[in-house]
Amino acid sequence: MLLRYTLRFSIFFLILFFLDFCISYFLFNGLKKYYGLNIPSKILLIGHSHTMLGLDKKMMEDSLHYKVAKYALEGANVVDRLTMIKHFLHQNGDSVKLIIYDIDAFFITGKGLSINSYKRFYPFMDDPYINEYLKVESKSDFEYLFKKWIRTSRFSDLNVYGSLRGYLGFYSNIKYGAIDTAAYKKKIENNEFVKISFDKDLQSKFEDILNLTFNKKIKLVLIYIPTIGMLNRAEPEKFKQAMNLIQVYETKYPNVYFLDYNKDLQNNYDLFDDPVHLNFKGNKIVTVRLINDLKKIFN
Amino acid sequence: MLFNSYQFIIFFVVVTFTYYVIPHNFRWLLLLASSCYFYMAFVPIYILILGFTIVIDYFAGRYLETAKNEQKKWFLIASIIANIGVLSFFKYYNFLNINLTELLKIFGYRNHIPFLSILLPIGLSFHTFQAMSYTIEVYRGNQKAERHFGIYALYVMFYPQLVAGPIERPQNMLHQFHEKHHFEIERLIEGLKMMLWGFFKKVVIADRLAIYVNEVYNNPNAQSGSSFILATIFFAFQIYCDFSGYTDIAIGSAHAMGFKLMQNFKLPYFSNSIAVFWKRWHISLSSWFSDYLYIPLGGNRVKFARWIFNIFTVFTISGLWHGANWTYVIWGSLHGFYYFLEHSIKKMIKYFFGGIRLKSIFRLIPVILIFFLVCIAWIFFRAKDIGTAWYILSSIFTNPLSKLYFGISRWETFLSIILIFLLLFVEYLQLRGIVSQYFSESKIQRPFRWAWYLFMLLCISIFGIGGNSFIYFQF
Repeated sequence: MLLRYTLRFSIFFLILFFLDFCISYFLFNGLKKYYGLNIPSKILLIGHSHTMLGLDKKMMEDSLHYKVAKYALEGANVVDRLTMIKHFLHQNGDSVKLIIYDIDAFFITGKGLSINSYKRFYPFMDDPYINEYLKVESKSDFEYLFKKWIRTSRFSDLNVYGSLRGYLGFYSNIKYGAIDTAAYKKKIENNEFVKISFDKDLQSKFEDILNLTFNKKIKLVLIYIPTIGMLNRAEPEKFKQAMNLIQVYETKYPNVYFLDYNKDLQNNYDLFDDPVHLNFKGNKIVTVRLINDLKKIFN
Repeated sequence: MLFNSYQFIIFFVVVTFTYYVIPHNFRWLLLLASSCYFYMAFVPIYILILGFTIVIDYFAGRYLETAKNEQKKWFLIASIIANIGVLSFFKYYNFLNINLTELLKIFGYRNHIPFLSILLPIGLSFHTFQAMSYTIEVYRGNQKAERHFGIYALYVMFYPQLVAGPIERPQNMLHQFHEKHHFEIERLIEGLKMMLWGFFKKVVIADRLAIYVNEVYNNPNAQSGSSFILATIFFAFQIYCDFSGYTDIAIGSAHAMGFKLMQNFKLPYFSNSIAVFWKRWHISLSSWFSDYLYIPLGGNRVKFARWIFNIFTVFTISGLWHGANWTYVIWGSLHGFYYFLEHSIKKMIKYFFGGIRLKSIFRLIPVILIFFLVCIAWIFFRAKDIGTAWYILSSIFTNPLSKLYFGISRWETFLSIILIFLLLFVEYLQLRGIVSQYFSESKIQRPFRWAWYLFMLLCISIFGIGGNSFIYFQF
């Protein structure tokens, strides 16, 4: 009887590992399509949800006639983005000529964008740069090893969704809502908003990104996808300090361009779905502006 | 140590393996040591509190057996006071103090009793009740006092059921610790299947539903009636899957070692009456209250007014057992009201119509009605205070068709809905007897059962959400 059960167990686990491999392979390829990791692209969009909601990749490709990869993850902080850039460049060689990096006053505000954002990178842990990043960020060795061996555990439901969208070619992320300015004003008055801060470690990582792109002769466009004016005015001194710092980087690095779309759009509240994300209107306006500015940069 | 953690998987494998390898005489020691380790993974120093109540109840049990009638009562009272005292202090001290402050304010006085920063020991309500059931059963003569201190300690702190039940009876558990359990591969597989189903309900369904529920219930002013409806339905399944999932893991891990724990849930959302609901929901707690509170108060063998008092007392205390907040008291009282109302309506129907038998298609109506009533009560259970609960309730009834908030991720919300339907489908098959509760012997062929196990494992791998504690840990 023990032999019978041992045989059943073995067959069961063989099937399990086979399915685990097949499903993870399927999801992995879909995810590569979704983030544009499967084809050499001239333009790489790097960022977090501001980029996801603020820029239309398809419109850019149609207008500029260049392949555009949109590698943006919710809550991706500076450390994540450095890893993402290294990962993408490692996957796609010398194809990338220009990186568009979304930036705002919170660009080096600690790791408070999300917690456990490193988990989004597990699907790509076979890449050496991602692997190195995960070895440092993983909560435990057991978690890391578990995900190394059980391949489907690398994926979360958001990865599954991204993968399916990659296969179906649905790249846009559009919101159709509008911000409740009265409610948000109350929150600002009650001091219920994210505060700007300047983390030295993150600043150092950001400079690593600047140096990396400089050394690889890649143009880096820092784009300020608008955030709502009342939030920007909540801490005027710190906001000015952040903007000055960005401008210093633009001056210091010849390959860096700063496109500040926030200045004249921040008070157009009908462009926002929430205080920091654009809706479909804002997405279109900002994407069109970016296309026009990129044409000038390329020329 | 949470059940849904890598540490627990290693812990379970090591303990179960070692259990079968070592001689029977030392197994109690292994289980006791591992239970201590399990408990101390939360807050180590709290083992002293547990130890204190174990010592009190062990000796109370010994003395209860040999004492004369009059003395017996005092040993029982001492044991109950010790247990309730510890429970009250850790769980209700600040709650009572807040209420005393408010009461004194009305009369223009100040409360000088300080508030304390007390961390509730994990599973306190569960193992306290389990310990009390021991002394009560010894007092009643239904159970011999346990001579072996280690076995008694193990009865109170057996790790599978230590932190969230099921609340066992000594008649069921104590003898099992003395019995020798031989290794049986089928039993081990049964246990693993139970655990698998428990993990699926907990990490795939419950923790996913919690995302939307927390978003809505933690920001009620920003939400609409329709969002509250969805969040409340989600919460009904969240709490069910969280708690029953945990219980299945507990039952499964005990079963793997040959221990039989009582069933705690029996498809409660298919109940067609409140009475049936409480025979299917948290069975170990409802039967505890029935045996040790309701029946001693007279049960239903009393005058009508006294019966109403008994019902409301039991349900209200049951509500309070769940948490130190008036919302839990209202939740419990509401169920008491439902019970009373249902009893009265049934009596009237019997009196006027001699009983009604519904056609099969209409039998769904009472099931939906009961689910609706239970959901109304869940609002009070989940809301942070009574004011918020009323606000949610009024939003649901005044604005049910308002714009629905789909959550931060629509995809996750839709996935949650799909999982609820999947759960209901599987439970419907269990209700009809097509699938057994833990997918063992059934009318479904092995390849399909294997496909289901593989599906659950892969879902846990991909869709499982970690990092949340079990809800009932707070009780």
